[in-house]
Amino acid sequence: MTRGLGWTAVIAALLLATAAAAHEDLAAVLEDLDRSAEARGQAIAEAAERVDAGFADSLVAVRMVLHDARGSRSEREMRIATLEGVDTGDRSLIVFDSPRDQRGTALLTWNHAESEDDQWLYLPALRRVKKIAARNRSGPFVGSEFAFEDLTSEEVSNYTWSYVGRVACDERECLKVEREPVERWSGYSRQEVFYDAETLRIERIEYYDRRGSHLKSLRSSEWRVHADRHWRPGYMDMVNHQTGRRTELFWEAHAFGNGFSADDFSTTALQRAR
Amino acid sequence: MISAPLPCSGRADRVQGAHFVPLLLLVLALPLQAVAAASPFARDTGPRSEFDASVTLQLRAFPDDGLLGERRVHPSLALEFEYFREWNQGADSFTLVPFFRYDVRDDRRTRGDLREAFLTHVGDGFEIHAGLRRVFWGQTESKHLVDVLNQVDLIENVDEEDRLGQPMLNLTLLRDWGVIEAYVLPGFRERTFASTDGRFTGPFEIAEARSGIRRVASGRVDWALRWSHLIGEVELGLAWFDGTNREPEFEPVGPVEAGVPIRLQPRYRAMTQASLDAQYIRGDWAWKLELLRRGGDSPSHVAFVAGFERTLIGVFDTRADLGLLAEYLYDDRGRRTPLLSFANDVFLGLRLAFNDLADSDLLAGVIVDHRSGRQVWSVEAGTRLGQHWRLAFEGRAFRGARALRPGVLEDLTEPGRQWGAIARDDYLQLELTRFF
Repeated sequence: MTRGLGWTAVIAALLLATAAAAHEDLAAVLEDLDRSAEARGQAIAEAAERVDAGFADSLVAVRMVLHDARGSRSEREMRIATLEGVDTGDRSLIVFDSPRDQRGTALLTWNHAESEDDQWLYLPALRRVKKIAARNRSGPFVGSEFAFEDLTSEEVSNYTWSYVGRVACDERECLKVEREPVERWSGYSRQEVFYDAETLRIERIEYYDRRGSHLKSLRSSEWRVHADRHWRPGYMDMVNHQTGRRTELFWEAHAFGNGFSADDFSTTALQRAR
Repeated sequence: MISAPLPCSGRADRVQGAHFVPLLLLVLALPLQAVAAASPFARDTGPRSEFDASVTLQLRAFPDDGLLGERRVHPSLALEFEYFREWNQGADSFTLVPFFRYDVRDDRRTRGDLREAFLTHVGDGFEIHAGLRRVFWGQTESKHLVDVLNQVDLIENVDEEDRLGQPMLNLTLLRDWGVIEAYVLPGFRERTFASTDGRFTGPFEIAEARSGIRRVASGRVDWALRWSHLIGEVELGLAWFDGTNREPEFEPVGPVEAGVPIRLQPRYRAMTQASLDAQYIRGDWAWKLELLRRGGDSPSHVAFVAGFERTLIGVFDTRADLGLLAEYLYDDRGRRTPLLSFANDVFLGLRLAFNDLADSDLLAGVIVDHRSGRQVWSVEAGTRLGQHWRLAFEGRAFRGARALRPGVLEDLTEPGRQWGAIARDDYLQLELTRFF
């Protein structure tokens, strides 16, 4: 047992060292004025991906509170299991618990860095698994102000990047980066992403629609950290400036290292996810 | 989308072909590993139970009296329960889904059914399910052609989407080259039909389905095998079924007199079915295909449904998504089809998801026989009221077929007139459901 703990400590120290090294590399890149804004923007995204790499898997419960422009309010509850991809993109499984008429509906996603993602919906009333078009991911996710593409894990190759500069983020310092989606089906022309300069977690995103108008703002807060590097927000607030609608997400603490396997994220597992 | 019964006769020669022994050997040869991959949501927890229930008040209204003078308003009340328990970190589970309906008009529709009652064991790369269960196969929307394991609970709804629980032993293997599902199906369940007090049976009196689990038609054990896999952007399924045809043929019994409903006895024959189902998704287009060839006791035939669904996000500058659907339905028996089926039909439909707080949706479509002009129209829509209630609307209309006359057999052989059986069964339905 002690021996096991010892090894865990060594691995944790190594991971921390890797994270620290990533930061030093990044600082050097950002100060290198010979590099283009594109190269520096991409370096930030890659460093953020490296820092969060190795989370293996996670499990979390989320409460979604939806507000429309007239002040009506509705709630949803769901659980999300995620498996970090080794050679592939991440895989995720979402099960809806409420409202009760949607209970048992589940969504399986296989992210791909180089091609369109695969996504299946499970309809419990018909016991039917249905593969759905990736383009559905730019529409409102379960009636909320989040599109599914806002919620999936960030693949660096899904965007072209451009570094803007250091800006103030409330009390902290942020690295502001602009990115444009590569995917034809994306609902956005561009996004402004604010990375916390120290942890590289995303504090804020401003979304611009296909016409270039300011569409939405996302703010994340109540951060929790796992193994000193995997930062997850406890609260997210997405405001749609064009419609006045708003969606809040309350995240329960994530459980990491659950030992999930690829079979847990298969279409057969989707049918019995509950 | 719609089917209703009609008489026909088939050949009586029997095909012997139940090769279920290899399948049983396959099941017995399973590695009996104790704990492995289960549900990601069941780890590190003790045994977990879930209980769900819903009550639905249903009101069906028909503008016309039925061909046998059946009433116009049909109220009923349905209860559905679902109990689920898992243990062994989700590796083992039990699911129980009882269903009850009380119908004011039709005694046959007042009944209970076990939709599901099965045990599941999940191992490393395999799953076993044993008991009464529902399994869906297929891709198309206008008709679920290849979906053959479960009997249709036609008395619930003529859209064929309600199914009876099928007794089965199912082994599923997950491999890099696809998913293999093997089924042993001991026992068969008869299709449910309304009585002469209910609707959708035309000018006939169809013998009541014997309840419970019946012997299979071949006298042996029915079985099925399916392979499915995602290859690039194509989802592909190939299946073989050897067992009792879920679609009955009807034999007139008793005297035939004008003005008196003809009595029909459903007969179930042995059949084999080879099927293919596929979906290819490219951008916002989904191309769908279901194809089958049936042989066995009745003359063999080929049928397919093929088409596409195109999804448009945020149409007309709203939050709504619009799906445009088009499918072609073909059956090489043409006018000899034993059921009210679609032999050379075009389906056009649209699906609206409003993406509002109440998850409102709408599906509307029409299936047109381009030769006779006969049309089947249908609309389904729903919205949530508060957090616990859902209101659903459904309507269907049958156009372009003349009504059949009770006791006149000649009407049945007149080409294109089969659909006249339900020509007066247009209806509107409201359902209010409370979820617990």
